[in-house]
Amino acid sequence: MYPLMQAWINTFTYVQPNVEVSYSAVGSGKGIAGITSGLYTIGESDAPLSTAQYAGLPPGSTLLTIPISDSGIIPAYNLPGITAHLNFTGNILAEIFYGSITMWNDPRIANLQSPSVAAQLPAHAIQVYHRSDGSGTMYGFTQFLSDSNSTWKAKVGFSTSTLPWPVGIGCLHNAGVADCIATTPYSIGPLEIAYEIANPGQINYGAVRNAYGNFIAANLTNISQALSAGVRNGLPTTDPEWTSFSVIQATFNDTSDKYIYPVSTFTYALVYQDLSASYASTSQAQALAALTFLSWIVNNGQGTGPNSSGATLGYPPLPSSAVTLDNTLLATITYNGTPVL
Amino acid sequence: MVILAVVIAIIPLILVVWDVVSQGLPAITLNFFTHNPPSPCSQSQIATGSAMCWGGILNGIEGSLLMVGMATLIAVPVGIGAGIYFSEWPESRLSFLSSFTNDVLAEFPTITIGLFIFVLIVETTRTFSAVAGATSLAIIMLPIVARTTEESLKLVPTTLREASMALGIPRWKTIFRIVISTGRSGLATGILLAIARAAGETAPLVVTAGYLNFPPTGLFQPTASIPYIIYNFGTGGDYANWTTTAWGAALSLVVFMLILNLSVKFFIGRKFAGVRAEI
Amino acid sequence: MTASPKGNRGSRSKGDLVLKVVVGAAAVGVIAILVGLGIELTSGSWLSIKTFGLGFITGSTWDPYHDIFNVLPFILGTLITSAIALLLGLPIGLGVAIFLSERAGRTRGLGAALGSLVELLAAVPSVIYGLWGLLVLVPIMREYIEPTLKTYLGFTQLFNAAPFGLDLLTAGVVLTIMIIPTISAVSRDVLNAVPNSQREAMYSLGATDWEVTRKAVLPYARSGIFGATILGLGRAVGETMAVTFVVGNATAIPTSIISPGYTLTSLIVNQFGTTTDPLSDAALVEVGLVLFMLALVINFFARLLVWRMTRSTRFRV
Repeated sequence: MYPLMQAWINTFTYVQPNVEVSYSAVGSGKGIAGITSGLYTIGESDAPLSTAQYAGLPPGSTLLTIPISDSGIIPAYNLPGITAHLNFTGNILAEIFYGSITMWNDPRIANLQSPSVAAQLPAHAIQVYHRSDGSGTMYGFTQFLSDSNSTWKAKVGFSTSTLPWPVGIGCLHNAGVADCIATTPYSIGPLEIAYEIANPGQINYGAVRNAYGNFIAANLTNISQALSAGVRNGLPTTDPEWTSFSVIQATFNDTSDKYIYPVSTFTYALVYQDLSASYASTSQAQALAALTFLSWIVNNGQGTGPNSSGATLGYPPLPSSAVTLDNTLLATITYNGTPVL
Repeated sequence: MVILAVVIAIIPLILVVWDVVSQGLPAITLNFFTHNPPSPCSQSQIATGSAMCWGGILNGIEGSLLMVGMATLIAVPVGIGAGIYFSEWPESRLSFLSSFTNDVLAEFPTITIGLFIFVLIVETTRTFSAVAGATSLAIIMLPIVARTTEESLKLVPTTLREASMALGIPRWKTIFRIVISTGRSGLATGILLAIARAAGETAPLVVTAGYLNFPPTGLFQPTASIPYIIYNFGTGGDYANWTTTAWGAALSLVVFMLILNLSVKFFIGRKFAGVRAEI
Repeated sequence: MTASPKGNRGSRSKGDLVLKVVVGAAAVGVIAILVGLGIELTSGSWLSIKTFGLGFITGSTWDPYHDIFNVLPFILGTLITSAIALLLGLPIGLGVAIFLSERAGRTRGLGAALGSLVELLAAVPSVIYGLWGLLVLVPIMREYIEPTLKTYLGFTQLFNAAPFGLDLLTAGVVLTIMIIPTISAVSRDVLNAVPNSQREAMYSLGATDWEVTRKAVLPYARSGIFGATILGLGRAVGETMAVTFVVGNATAIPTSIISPGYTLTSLIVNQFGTTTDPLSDAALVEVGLVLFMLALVINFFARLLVWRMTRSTRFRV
């Protein structure tokens, strides 16, 4: 997320030179603490607040959760000679990352593949890589594993902070995981789709089975579709409802949703609804600047035009339904009673 | 055989300088010193020549200047003061204890000094700040200034002091007028060495000053620095223009160090000119 | 070496007293900083000290998710990387010192030039060594050096792992480069402090250069060189940025030296932005406290040794 925010800030500065946005990449824990204490005007998080974090907010305050970007997580691997997308399920991935499956030609993996691909699976140990730092990407990925496998849910769980990965070696940042996989044959690791989009063809990744039973290889379209379906089926309207909101593994009513990618997540901006309140510690000018920035991100920062950066960096654009919702939410933010925008 | 050791010792230096120059030079343009760092760009974006993909280290230059400048203002008076005490009152127990402590502090892990200021200033002000960064740098600079002050003052012959005091000049005037002005090249050396040390420090700034992608916005705001840019953009991942920025920043820093070190050599040459008049 | 005139001679004016108090305060300030360091680090880590007690340094699980913080793997990482740096750095540093002190006397220009070059090694900021290490040295280690080591020495546990490049060995190599100037500069002063009478006595017996060095100079300088080594150790233990780039950032106990690891210093820097609650904040500060105590002991001991050796000439680095 950090490179994307950096790109947004730089582009926004071109567009609005009189606004300076400073960004402290401190990790969601401190970010949420900062919003709670009024240190930051906008908080950015890859996961909605937990119940406990909501409880820690100043009394009487309303914190808006606004999706500003999204991502998908792919199981990337390095298998010499195999170019096809291997098929995975959440359950099998959980077992691999838990250490229960240790060989590439394990029958549990082979059974998911077509016979020709299954025959190519090598009799070699799996080298597992994961992130050594905490991140929203891992939050989404481990949430997916938790939803798919009860052992993972019980023993490891999911979080935005550094996780106790049972097996494997940690590599720093998304790029580190990509490097680790690229240089180690027979390895596997979770990677943000952004890497694959920015460096097409450099790394192989598998297809993941969604809740409809289809094996989907992620791309910008099917991730966007997943999130679009989520929005269409109703985003939470009050703060605490966001705690349990997730697009991961979800099934929806529309038959066109059959090919959505299951490991898709939103990234959120967190802003108080009443920016004039004392706990927000924001001046009127800051409020206007902050919301102008957010509005720009939502409306202009998603695509591939010269003045935007989302898709060029590999982050799927927000579905239009989410953009509409965001604009509605932003319009409700007030300063001294009047809407800021 | 010892020649072999010398050769092995010098090889890494040559390799590092070679790589810094060859990788960093492509980044150096006038814009490099007048713009902030670029957006992350994939290879294809860089190929389009988009202006968004080029940038520089303006924020780091201003931030480093601010913090090293403030640190110098703090460390130099205190360091010279301590150095004077070590040199002029060496028999006192305080002198011995403090001088020893000074040497211990000089080699101390700078990350712990950063953590110290983190607990002391950052946690109480609840923000990363230029002030916190400058304070941690000052603590790192202090022992160098104190030590070189002490050593260059000690090089001034006793005869000078005695002659002055025999003329009835009070001790404090003696120290200031005669001793310091004669040993001033040594003092200047110490200050320059300390500045060189502070300009290259990264670890304490990571935990005290943080980072900002703009030039400094306030004394109690996160502040960029050139070493932090190298750290941040060097480990930032596969954006080629970010890596180039890091190398460019490294080259700028190395050149700056070279200038400082050459200035020190220049001063040392002058140092003996002042003392030559004595027997 | 100058002796300071006693304060009673000459007129004792108010100015003398003011000066003495002011600069004395600066001297007190130096001590206050070190003491303050210890106090603040202790107070900042109090929550963690209370929670984990001694288990902090004997336990080996670093698990922020479950709020368990133990640092044994990182103490090991620090010790291993420093040991590698000393093993490689001591012979080289000492060799350079011998060259500059004993041999280059004849070739004044060359000796000074080479001496300056080695000092220039120390002038390069550690973050640049880190950057270079990551982008240049790591691929070399991973592609060429470590596979070779694994092939020939893989039967020992030390080298029995997949060559990773980002590991303890690479960190140790980068640290070596950084402590060579320290060891050589201090050793050179120590060797210079050996009285010429020692050398002349051996020469008069017909000894060669190397025999003189080995039999007359080095034994005499033994404790000082030991002190230089300990100072180098202190530098290696405290080095942060050069190590952070290349050490691999793995929180488990390393199984070989070509496996990724962590040191106390790089742990602090890398984990810094990720703490989520007061306990993890305090744990990180406590890592700093452990480092503080380690550095204090090493530096204190080293300075003592070097002081004893060079006391007569009062040369200090």
